[in-house]
Amino acid sequence: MITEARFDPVFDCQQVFKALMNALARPGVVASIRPSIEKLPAEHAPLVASGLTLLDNWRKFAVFGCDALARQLRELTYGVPAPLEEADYIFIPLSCSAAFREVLSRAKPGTLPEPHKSATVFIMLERLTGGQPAWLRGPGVDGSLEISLPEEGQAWLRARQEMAFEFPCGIDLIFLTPQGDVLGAPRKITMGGNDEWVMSR
Amino acid sequence: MQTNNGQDYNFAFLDEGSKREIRRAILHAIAIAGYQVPFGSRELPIGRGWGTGGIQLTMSLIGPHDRLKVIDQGNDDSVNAVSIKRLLQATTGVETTTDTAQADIIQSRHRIPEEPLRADQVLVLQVPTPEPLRSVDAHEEVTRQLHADAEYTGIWVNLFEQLLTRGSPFRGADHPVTVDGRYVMNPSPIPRYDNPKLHEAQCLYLFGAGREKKIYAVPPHTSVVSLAFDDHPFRQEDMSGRKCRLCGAENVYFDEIFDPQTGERFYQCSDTGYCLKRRNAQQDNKEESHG
Repeated sequence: MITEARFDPVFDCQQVFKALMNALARPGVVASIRPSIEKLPAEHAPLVASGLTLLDNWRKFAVFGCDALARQLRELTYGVPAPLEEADYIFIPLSCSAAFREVLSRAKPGTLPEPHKSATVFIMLERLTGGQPAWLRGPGVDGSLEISLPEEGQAWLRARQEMAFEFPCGIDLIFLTPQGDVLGAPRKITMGGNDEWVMSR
Repeated sequence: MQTNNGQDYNFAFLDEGSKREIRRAILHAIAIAGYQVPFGSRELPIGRGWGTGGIQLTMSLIGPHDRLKVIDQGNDDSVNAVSIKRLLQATTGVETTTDTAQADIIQSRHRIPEEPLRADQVLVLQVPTPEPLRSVDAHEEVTRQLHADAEYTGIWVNLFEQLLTRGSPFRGADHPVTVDGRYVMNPSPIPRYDNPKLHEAQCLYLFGAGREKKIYAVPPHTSVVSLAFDDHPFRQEDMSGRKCRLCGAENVYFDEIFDPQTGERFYQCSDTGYCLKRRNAQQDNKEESHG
Protein backbone atom coordinates (compact mmCIF):
# COMPACT_ATOMS: atom_id res chain seq x y z
CA MET A 1 0.00 0.00 0.00
CA ILE A 2 1.37 3.41 -0.96
CA THR A 3 0.79 5.89 1.87
CA GLU A 4 0.23 9.38 0.50
CA ALA A 5 0.36 11.51 3.64
CA ARG A 6 3.09 10.01 5.81
CA PHE A 7 6.69 9.11 5.02
CA ASP A 8 6.54 5.61 3.62
CA PRO A 9 9.47 3.41 4.67
CA VAL A 10 9.29 1.53 1.36
CA PHE A 11 8.39 4.04 -1.33
CA ASP A 12 9.73 7.28 0.14
CA CYS A 13 13.01 5.59 1.11
CA GLN A 14 13.28 4.39 -2.52
CA GLN A 15 12.70 7.94 -3.78
CA VAL A 16 15.22 9.44 -1.36
CA PHE A 17 17.79 6.77 -2.22
CA LYS A 18 17.36 7.43 -5.93
CA ALA A 19 17.90 11.16 -5.39
CA LEU A 20 21.04 10.48 -3.31
CA MET A 21 22.28 8.04 -5.97
CA ASN A 22 21.72 10.56 -8.77
CA ALA A 23 23.36 13.33 -6.72
CA LEU A 24 26.51 11.23 -6.22
CA ALA A 25 26.52 9.95 -9.81
CA ARG A 26 26.21 13.51 -11.19
CA PRO A 27 28.12 15.76 -8.80
CA GLY A 28 27.00 19.36 -8.95
CA VAL A 29 23.62 18.56 -10.51
CA VAL A 30 20.83 19.24 -8.01
CA ALA A 31 18.39 16.40 -7.26
CA SER A 32 15.27 16.77 -5.11
CA ILE A 33 13.67 14.87 -2.24
CA ARG A 34 10.99 17.50 -1.68
CA PRO A 35 7.88 15.27 -2.04
CA SER A 36 9.26 12.87 0.58
CA ILE A 37 10.44 15.42 3.16
CA GLU A 38 7.12 17.26 3.07
CA LYS A 39 5.71 14.24 4.90
CA LEU A 40 8.13 14.69 7.82
CA PRO A 41 8.20 17.36 10.58
CA ALA A 42 9.97 20.36 9.04
CA GLU A 43 12.94 20.57 11.41
CA HIS A 44 15.88 18.56 10.04
CA ALA A 45 13.52 16.77 7.63
CA PRO A 46 16.13 16.18 4.86
CA LEU A 47 18.59 14.72 7.40
CA VAL A 48 15.90 12.52 8.93
CA ALA A 49 14.83 11.30 5.47
CA SER A 50 18.46 10.44 4.61
CA GLY A 51 18.85 8.66 7.95
CA LEU A 52 15.66 6.66 7.44
CA THR A 53 16.97 5.60 4.02
CA LEU A 54 20.46 4.49 5.05
CA LEU A 55 20.63 3.80 8.79
CA ASP A 56 19.86 0.66 10.74
CA ASN A 57 21.46 -1.27 13.58
CA TRP A 58 24.32 -2.28 11.26
CA ARG A 59 25.63 1.26 10.83
CA LYS A 60 27.08 3.87 13.16
CA PHE A 61 26.16 7.52 12.91
CA ALA A 62 27.01 10.85 14.54
CA VAL A 63 25.12 14.12 14.68
CA PHE A 64 27.26 17.20 15.16
CA GLY A 65 25.87 19.66 17.72
CA CYS A 66 22.25 18.48 18.01
CA ASP A 67 21.44 15.83 20.60
CA ALA A 68 17.73 15.96 19.83
CA LEU A 69 18.34 14.93 16.21
CA ALA A 70 20.71 12.18 17.36
CA ARG A 71 18.00 10.83 19.68
CA GLN A 72 15.39 11.06 16.94
CA LEU A 73 17.54 9.15 14.45
CA ARG A 74 18.36 6.52 17.06
CA GLU A 75 14.69 6.01 17.87
CA LEU A 76 13.53 5.96 14.24
CA THR A 77 16.27 3.82 12.69
CA TYR A 78 18.01 1.84 15.49
CA GLY A 79 21.25 3.23 14.06
CA VAL A 80 24.13 3.13 16.53
CA PRO A 81 25.30 6.53 17.84
CA ALA A 82 29.11 6.78 17.73
CA PRO A 83 31.93 9.32 17.97
CA LEU A 84 32.82 11.16 14.74
CA GLU A 85 35.89 8.94 14.27
CA GLU A 86 33.78 5.77 14.04
CA ALA A 87 30.63 7.06 12.30
CA ASP A 88 29.67 5.73 8.87
CA TYR A 89 27.22 8.59 8.42
CA ILE A 90 27.60 12.07 9.91
CA PHE A 91 24.74 14.55 10.00
CA ILE A 92 25.41 18.30 10.23
CA PRO A 93 22.36 20.47 11.03
CA LEU A 94 22.01 24.02 9.67
CA SER A 95 23.39 25.69 12.78
CA CYS A 96 26.65 23.69 12.60
CA SER A 97 27.56 23.95 8.91
CA ALA A 98 30.71 25.91 9.83
CA ALA A 99 32.19 22.91 11.70
CA PHE A 100 33.96 21.55 8.61
CA ARG A 101 37.50 21.48 10.03
CA GLU A 102 36.63 19.49 13.13
CA VAL A 103 34.31 17.08 11.31
CA LEU A 104 36.62 16.40 8.36
CA SER A 105 39.71 15.98 10.54
CA ARG A 106 37.94 13.41 12.73
CA ALA A 107 35.78 11.54 10.19
CA LYS A 108 37.12 8.21 8.92
CA PRO A 109 38.44 8.20 5.33
CA GLY A 110 38.60 4.39 4.96
CA THR A 111 41.76 2.46 4.17
CA LEU A 112 43.46 1.74 0.84
CA PRO A 113 42.29 -1.92 0.81
CA GLU A 114 38.84 -1.01 2.18
CA PRO A 115 38.00 2.54 1.08
CA HIS A 116 34.26 1.88 1.49
CA LYS A 117 34.74 1.90 5.27
CA SER A 118 34.67 5.68 5.14
CA ALA A 119 32.27 8.36 6.31
CA THR A 120 29.56 10.07 4.28
CA VAL A 121 28.72 13.53 5.62
CA PHE A 122 25.24 15.06 5.16
CA ILE A 123 25.43 18.85 5.48
CA MET A 124 22.43 21.16 5.74
CA LEU A 125 22.74 24.53 4.00
CA GLU A 126 20.14 27.29 3.60
CA ARG A 127 20.49 27.01 -0.19
CA LEU A 128 22.73 25.48 -2.87
CA THR A 129 23.20 28.60 -4.99
CA GLY A 130 24.09 32.26 -4.53
CA GLY A 131 27.81 31.89 -3.77
CA GLN A 132 30.86 32.77 -5.84
CA PRO A 133 31.09 30.81 -9.10
CA ALA A 134 33.37 27.77 -8.89
CA TRP A 135 33.83 24.65 -10.96
CA LEU A 136 33.71 20.97 -10.14
CA ARG A 137 35.70 18.27 -11.89
CA GLY A 138 35.93 14.51 -11.55
CA PRO A 139 34.04 11.29 -12.30
CA GLY A 140 30.38 12.04 -13.06
CA VAL A 141 31.10 15.55 -14.35
CA ASP A 142 31.14 16.18 -18.10
CA GLY A 143 34.45 18.09 -18.31
CA SER A 144 33.84 20.76 -15.71
CA LEU A 145 30.64 22.10 -14.20
CA GLU A 146 30.12 25.58 -12.83
CA ILE A 147 28.34 25.79 -9.48
CA SER A 148 27.55 28.66 -7.13
CA LEU A 149 27.42 26.84 -3.81
CA PRO A 150 27.35 29.34 -0.89
CA GLU A 151 30.61 29.96 0.95
CA GLU A 152 29.61 27.64 3.86
CA GLY A 153 29.36 24.79 1.35
CA GLN A 154 32.48 25.65 -0.64
CA ALA A 155 34.43 25.73 2.64
CA TRP A 156 33.71 22.00 3.11
CA LEU A 157 34.97 21.18 -0.38
CA ARG A 158 38.05 23.37 0.02
CA ALA A 159 38.90 21.89 3.43
CA ARG A 160 38.52 18.34 2.07
CA GLN A 161 40.81 19.17 -0.83
CA GLU A 162 43.42 20.67 1.52
CA MET A 163 43.45 17.45 3.54
CA ALA A 164 44.54 15.63 0.35
CA PHE A 165 43.35 12.12 1.20
CA GLU A 166 45.09 9.52 -0.92
CA PHE A 167 42.44 8.18 -3.29
CA PRO A 168 40.59 5.78 -2.94
CA CYS A 169 40.48 6.96 0.69
CA GLY A 170 38.31 10.01 1.28
CA ILE A 171 35.07 11.41 2.60
CA ASP A 172 31.90 11.81 0.55
CA LEU A 173 29.86 14.98 1.01
CA ILE A 174 26.15 15.45 0.38
CA PHE A 175 24.63 18.93 0.74
CA LEU A 176 20.92 19.31 1.48
CA THR A 177 18.55 22.26 1.89
CA PRO A 178 15.35 22.59 3.95
CA GLN A 179 13.47 22.63 0.61
CA GLY A 180 14.80 19.14 -0.21
CA ASP A 181 17.46 20.00 -2.79
CA VAL A 182 20.41 17.60 -2.84
CA LEU A 183 23.91 18.10 -4.26
CA GLY A 184 26.56 15.39 -4.07
CA ALA A 185 30.33 15.72 -4.05
CA PRO A 186 32.01 12.29 -3.87
CA ARG A 187 35.60 12.05 -2.66
CA LYS A 188 37.24 12.31 -6.10
CA ILE A 189 35.50 15.59 -6.98
CA THR A 190 37.71 18.66 -6.97
CA MET A 191 36.63 22.28 -6.86
CA GLY A 192 38.40 25.28 -8.31
CA GLY A 193 37.75 29.02 -8.36
CA ASN A 194 36.49 30.74 -11.47
CA ASP A 195 39.90 32.31 -12.21
CA GLU A 196 41.57 28.88 -12.19
CA TRP A 197 38.84 27.57 -14.46
CA VAL A 198 39.45 30.31 -17.02
CA MET A 199 43.20 29.66 -16.92
CA SER A 200 42.83 25.94 -17.39
CA ARG A 201 40.54 26.23 -20.45
CA MET B 1 2.44 -6.79 -2.65
CA GLN B 2 0.57 -9.93 -3.70
CA THR B 3 2.18 -12.04 -6.39
CA ASN B 4 0.39 -14.03 -9.09
CA ASN B 5 0.18 -17.10 -6.86
CA GLY B 6 -1.47 -15.16 -4.05
CA GLN B 7 1.49 -14.93 -1.68
CA ASP B 8 2.40 -11.67 0.04
CA TYR B 9 5.84 -10.17 -0.39
CA ASN B 10 7.40 -6.80 0.32
CA PHE B 11 7.53 -4.47 -2.70
CA ALA B 12 10.34 -5.77 -4.94
CA PHE B 13 10.64 -9.00 -2.93
CA LEU B 14 13.61 -7.99 -0.72
CA ASP B 15 12.97 -6.81 2.83
CA GLU B 16 13.82 -3.17 3.51
CA GLY B 17 16.91 -4.08 5.57
CA SER B 18 18.38 -5.93 2.60
CA LYS B 19 17.62 -3.04 0.28
CA ARG B 20 19.30 -0.62 2.69
CA GLU B 21 22.45 -2.76 2.74
CA ILE B 22 22.53 -2.86 -1.07
CA ARG B 23 21.75 0.86 -1.38
CA ARG B 24 24.62 1.76 0.95
CA ALA B 25 26.95 -0.38 -1.17
CA ILE B 26 25.68 1.30 -4.36
CA LEU B 27 26.43 4.78 -3.00
CA HIS B 28 29.98 3.74 -2.05
CA ALA B 29 30.43 2.06 -5.44
CA ILE B 30 29.47 5.28 -7.25
CA ALA B 31 31.80 7.36 -5.07
CA ILE B 32 34.74 5.01 -5.77
CA ALA B 33 34.35 4.24 -9.49
CA GLY B 34 35.48 0.72 -10.40
CA TYR B 35 36.02 -0.42 -6.79
CA GLN B 36 34.25 -3.63 -5.76
CA VAL B 37 32.16 -2.99 -2.65
CA PRO B 38 31.41 -6.19 -0.69
CA PHE B 39 27.78 -6.70 0.35
CA GLY B 40 25.64 -9.34 2.04
CA SER B 41 24.15 -11.06 -1.00
CA ARG B 42 20.64 -12.37 -0.25
CA GLU B 43 18.94 -15.65 -1.08
CA LEU B 44 16.50 -15.30 -3.95
CA PRO B 45 14.06 -17.68 -5.61
CA ILE B 46 16.63 -18.10 -8.39
CA GLY B 47 20.00 -19.85 -8.19
CA ARG B 48 23.18 -17.86 -7.53
CA GLY B 49 24.99 -17.43 -10.80
CA TRP B 50 21.74 -16.80 -12.65
CA GLY B 51 21.74 -13.05 -12.32
CA THR B 52 21.11 -12.64 -8.60
CA GLY B 53 23.55 -9.71 -8.29
CA GLY B 54 21.75 -7.80 -11.00
CA ILE B 55 18.34 -8.72 -9.61
CA GLN B 56 19.24 -7.47 -6.13
CA LEU B 57 20.47 -4.18 -7.60
CA THR B 58 17.28 -3.78 -9.63
CA MET B 59 15.10 -4.67 -6.63
CA SER B 60 16.84 -2.01 -4.54
CA LEU B 61 16.56 0.65 -7.26
CA ILE B 62 13.13 0.14 -8.67
CA GLY B 63 10.06 2.20 -7.80
CA PRO B 64 6.40 1.63 -8.69
CA HIS B 65 6.52 4.11 -11.59
CA ASP B 66 9.70 2.80 -13.25
CA ARG B 67 9.63 0.91 -16.53
CA LEU B 68 11.88 -2.13 -16.74
CA LYS B 69 13.67 -3.91 -19.57
CA VAL B 70 15.54 -7.18 -19.04
CA ILE B 71 17.82 -8.71 -21.66
CA ASP B 72 20.05 -11.75 -21.77
CA GLN B 73 22.83 -11.66 -24.40
CA GLY B 74 20.81 -8.88 -26.05
CA ASN B 75 17.68 -11.02 -26.16
CA ASP B 76 14.42 -9.88 -24.53
CA ASP B 77 12.84 -13.31 -24.84
CA SER B 78 15.43 -15.76 -23.52
CA VAL B 79 14.48 -17.98 -20.57
CA ASN B 80 16.75 -16.11 -18.13
CA ALA B 81 15.47 -12.67 -19.18
CA VAL B 82 11.82 -13.73 -19.09
CA SER B 83 12.18 -15.42 -15.67
CA ILE B 84 13.82 -12.34 -14.16
CA LYS B 85 11.25 -10.04 -15.74
CA ARG B 86 8.39 -12.18 -14.38
CA LEU B 87 9.86 -12.22 -10.87
CA LEU B 88 10.33 -8.45 -10.83
CA GLN B 89 6.95 -7.78 -12.40
CA ALA B 90 5.15 -10.11 -9.99
CA THR B 91 6.73 -8.49 -6.93
CA THR B 92 6.58 -4.84 -8.05
CA GLY B 93 3.76 -4.54 -10.57
CA VAL B 94 5.95 -2.31 -12.78
CA GLU B 95 5.53 -2.10 -16.53
CA THR B 96 8.09 -3.87 -18.69
CA THR B 97 9.21 -2.99 -22.19
CA THR B 98 11.47 -4.31 -24.94
CA ASP B 99 12.16 -0.76 -26.20
CA THR B 100 15.45 0.51 -24.76
CA ALA B 101 14.36 4.14 -25.14
CA GLN B 102 11.22 3.53 -23.04
CA ALA B 103 13.02 1.89 -20.10
CA ASP B 104 14.11 3.61 -16.88
CA ILE B 105 16.08 0.61 -15.63
CA ILE B 106 17.65 -1.95 -17.96
CA GLN B 107 18.99 -5.16 -16.47
CA SER B 108 21.31 -7.03 -18.79
CA ARG B 109 23.42 -10.13 -19.01
CA HIS B 110 26.41 -9.83 -21.34
CA ARG B 111 25.33 -6.93 -23.58
CA ILE B 112 24.92 -3.18 -23.61
CA PRO B 113 22.01 -2.18 -25.87
CA GLU B 114 22.74 -0.75 -29.33
CA GLU B 115 20.74 2.42 -28.74
CA PRO B 116 22.76 4.99 -26.78
CA LEU B 117 21.52 5.27 -23.20
CA ARG B 118 20.36 8.57 -21.72
CA ALA B 119 21.29 10.37 -18.50
CA ASP B 120 18.02 9.34 -16.82
CA GLN B 121 18.59 5.61 -17.44
CA VAL B 122 20.45 3.06 -15.33
CA LEU B 123 21.99 -0.07 -16.81
CA VAL B 124 22.36 -2.95 -14.36
CA LEU B 125 24.79 -5.64 -15.50
CA GLN B 126 24.88 -9.18 -14.08
CA VAL B 127 28.43 -10.23 -13.26
CA PRO B 128 29.71 -13.79 -12.82
CA THR B 129 33.37 -12.98 -12.05
CA PRO B 130 33.91 -9.46 -10.73
CA GLU B 131 37.57 -9.84 -9.73
CA PRO B 132 40.00 -9.18 -12.62
CA LEU B 133 42.88 -10.32 -10.41
CA ARG B 134 41.37 -13.71 -9.56
CA SER B 135 43.53 -15.43 -12.18
CA VAL B 136 46.56 -13.76 -10.55
CA ASP B 137 45.77 -14.84 -6.99
CA ALA B 138 42.98 -16.99 -5.57
CA HIS B 139 42.86 -15.20 -2.21
CA GLU B 140 40.53 -12.26 -1.65
CA GLU B 141 42.88 -10.77 0.96
CA VAL B 142 45.72 -10.68 -1.59
CA THR B 143 43.70 -9.27 -4.49
CA ARG B 144 42.25 -6.59 -2.19
CA GLN B 145 45.80 -5.50 -1.30
CA LEU B 146 46.85 -5.58 -4.96
CA HIS B 147 43.97 -3.22 -5.77
CA ALA B 148 45.00 -1.03 -2.83
CA ASP B 149 48.51 -0.75 -4.26
CA ALA B 150 47.20 -0.40 -7.85
CA GLU B 151 49.51 -3.35 -8.56
CA TYR B 152 48.16 -4.75 -11.82
CA THR B 153 51.33 -6.32 -13.24
CA GLY B 154 49.72 -9.78 -13.02
CA ILE B 155 46.92 -8.82 -15.39
CA TRP B 156 49.38 -7.34 -17.91
CA VAL B 157 51.45 -10.54 -17.75
CA ASN B 158 48.27 -12.59 -18.35
CA LEU B 159 47.45 -10.51 -21.41
CA PHE B 160 51.03 -10.81 -22.67
CA GLU B 161 50.93 -14.59 -22.23
CA GLN B 162 47.70 -14.63 -24.18
CA LEU B 163 49.36 -12.61 -26.93
CA LEU B 164 52.23 -15.13 -27.11
CA THR B 165 50.04 -18.23 -27.06
CA ARG B 166 47.02 -17.06 -29.08
CA GLY B 167 48.37 -14.18 -31.11
CA SER B 168 46.07 -11.57 -29.54
CA PRO B 169 46.01 -10.01 -26.07
CA PHE B 170 42.25 -9.49 -26.24
CA ARG B 171 39.71 -11.65 -24.48
CA GLY B 172 36.56 -12.62 -26.36
CA ALA B 173 34.42 -11.11 -23.62
CA ASP B 174 34.98 -9.50 -20.22
CA HIS B 175 38.13 -7.77 -21.47
CA PRO B 176 39.41 -5.74 -18.48
CA VAL B 177 39.28 -1.95 -18.38
CA THR B 178 40.86 0.80 -16.28
CA VAL B 179 38.26 3.05 -14.67
CA ASP B 180 39.09 6.71 -14.06
CA GLY B 181 42.80 5.92 -14.32
CA ARG B 182 42.78 3.93 -11.07
CA TYR B 183 40.96 0.60 -10.72
CA VAL B 184 41.20 -2.26 -13.19
CA MET B 185 37.71 -3.71 -13.54
CA ASN B 186 35.99 -6.61 -15.25
CA PRO B 187 33.18 -5.07 -17.31
CA SER B 188 31.15 -8.34 -17.02
CA PRO B 189 31.21 -10.68 -20.03
CA ILE B 190 30.12 -8.08 -22.58
CA PRO B 191 31.80 -8.43 -25.98
CA ARG B 192 34.72 -6.08 -26.66
CA TYR B 193 32.36 -4.39 -29.09
CA ASP B 194 30.53 -2.94 -26.04
CA ASN B 195 33.58 -1.83 -24.02
CA PRO B 196 33.78 1.68 -25.57
CA LYS B 197 30.14 2.31 -24.58
CA LEU B 198 31.30 2.45 -20.94
CA HIS B 199 33.65 5.37 -21.65
CA GLU B 200 32.29 8.86 -20.84
CA ALA B 201 28.73 7.51 -21.03
CA GLN B 202 25.58 9.50 -20.31
CA CYS B 203 24.04 6.82 -18.08
CA LEU B 204 25.02 5.20 -14.80
CA TYR B 205 26.31 1.61 -15.01
CA LEU B 206 25.88 -0.65 -11.98
CA PHE B 207 27.45 -4.11 -11.76
CA GLY B 208 26.16 -6.79 -9.39
CA ALA B 209 27.80 -10.13 -8.59
CA GLY B 210 25.41 -12.09 -6.33
CA ARG B 211 27.52 -15.24 -5.97
CA GLU B 212 30.73 -13.27 -5.37
CA LYS B 213 28.90 -10.68 -3.22
CA LYS B 214 30.29 -7.57 -4.90
CA ILE B 215 28.77 -4.38 -6.27
CA TYR B 216 30.63 -1.84 -8.40
CA ALA B 217 29.79 1.09 -10.64
CA VAL B 218 30.85 3.33 -13.47
CA PRO B 219 29.30 6.80 -13.04
CA PRO B 220 28.39 8.87 -16.11
CA HIS B 221 31.19 10.86 -17.78
CA THR B 222 33.93 8.65 -16.40
CA SER B 223 37.01 7.53 -18.30
CA VAL B 224 36.97 3.78 -19.07
CA VAL B 225 39.94 2.52 -21.07
CA SER B 226 40.27 -1.07 -22.29
CA LEU B 227 43.66 -2.63 -21.48
CA ALA B 228 45.93 -2.88 -24.52
CA PHE B 229 49.61 -2.69 -25.44
CA ASP B 230 51.17 0.19 -27.37
CA ASP B 231 51.99 -2.13 -30.29
CA HIS B 232 48.63 -3.94 -30.00
CA PRO B 233 46.04 -1.16 -29.66
CA PHE B 234 42.56 -2.12 -28.47
CA ARG B 235 40.36 -3.59 -31.19
CA GLN B 236 36.68 -4.45 -31.18
CA GLU B 237 35.34 -7.51 -32.98
CA ASP B 238 35.24 -6.91 -36.74
CA MET B 239 31.60 -6.76 -37.83
CA SER B 240 32.30 -5.30 -41.26
CA GLY B 241 30.62 -6.89 -44.30
CA ARG B 242 27.84 -8.39 -42.19
CA LYS B 243 24.19 -7.53 -42.35
CA CYS B 244 21.19 -8.54 -40.21
CA ARG B 245 19.06 -11.04 -42.13
CA LEU B 246 15.91 -9.65 -40.47
CA CYS B 247 16.28 -5.86 -40.43
CA GLY B 248 19.31 -5.28 -42.66
CA ALA B 249 21.27 -3.45 -39.95
CA GLU B 250 25.02 -3.06 -40.42
CA ASN B 251 27.76 -2.13 -37.95
CA VAL B 252 25.97 -3.60 -34.93
CA TYR B 253 26.88 -6.67 -32.86
CA PHE B 254 25.59 -9.84 -34.51
CA ASP B 255 24.63 -13.37 -33.51
CA GLU B 256 25.92 -15.90 -36.03
CA ILE B 257 23.53 -18.66 -37.05
CA PHE B 258 24.82 -21.70 -38.92
CA ASP B 259 22.57 -23.89 -41.03
CA PRO B 260 24.15 -27.41 -41.04
CA GLN B 261 21.88 -28.50 -43.93
CA THR B 262 23.08 -25.89 -46.37
CA GLY B 263 26.33 -24.84 -44.68
CA GLU B 264 25.18 -21.22 -44.84
CA ARG B 265 25.95 -18.64 -42.18
CA PHE B 266 23.43 -15.97 -41.26
CA TYR B 267 23.78 -12.93 -39.08
CA GLN B 268 21.12 -11.21 -37.06
CA CYS B 269 21.16 -8.38 -34.52
CA SER B 270 22.14 -9.63 -31.06
CA ASP B 271 19.97 -6.82 -29.59
CA THR B 272 16.49 -8.17 -30.38
CA GLY B 273 14.68 -5.04 -29.12
CA TYR B 274 16.71 -2.87 -31.50
CA CYS B 275 16.07 -5.27 -34.39
CA LEU B 276 12.31 -5.38 -33.69
CA LYS B 277 12.14 -1.59 -33.51
CA ARG B 278 13.87 -1.27 -36.86
CA ARG B 279 11.57 -3.84 -38.46
CA ASN B 280 8.46 -2.12 -37.08
CA ALA B 281 9.71 1.22 -38.43
CA GLN B 282 10.36 -0.38 -41.83
CA GLN B 283 6.85 -1.87 -41.80
CA ASP B 284 5.30 1.50 -40.89
CA ASN B 285 7.23 3.21 -43.70
CA LYS B 286 6.08 0.56 -46.16
CA GLU B 287 2.43 0.95 -45.11
CA GLU B 288 2.69 4.75 -45.35
CA SER B 289 4.17 4.61 -48.83
CA HIS B 290 1.39 2.20 -49.94
CA GLY B 291 -1.28 4.05 -48.00
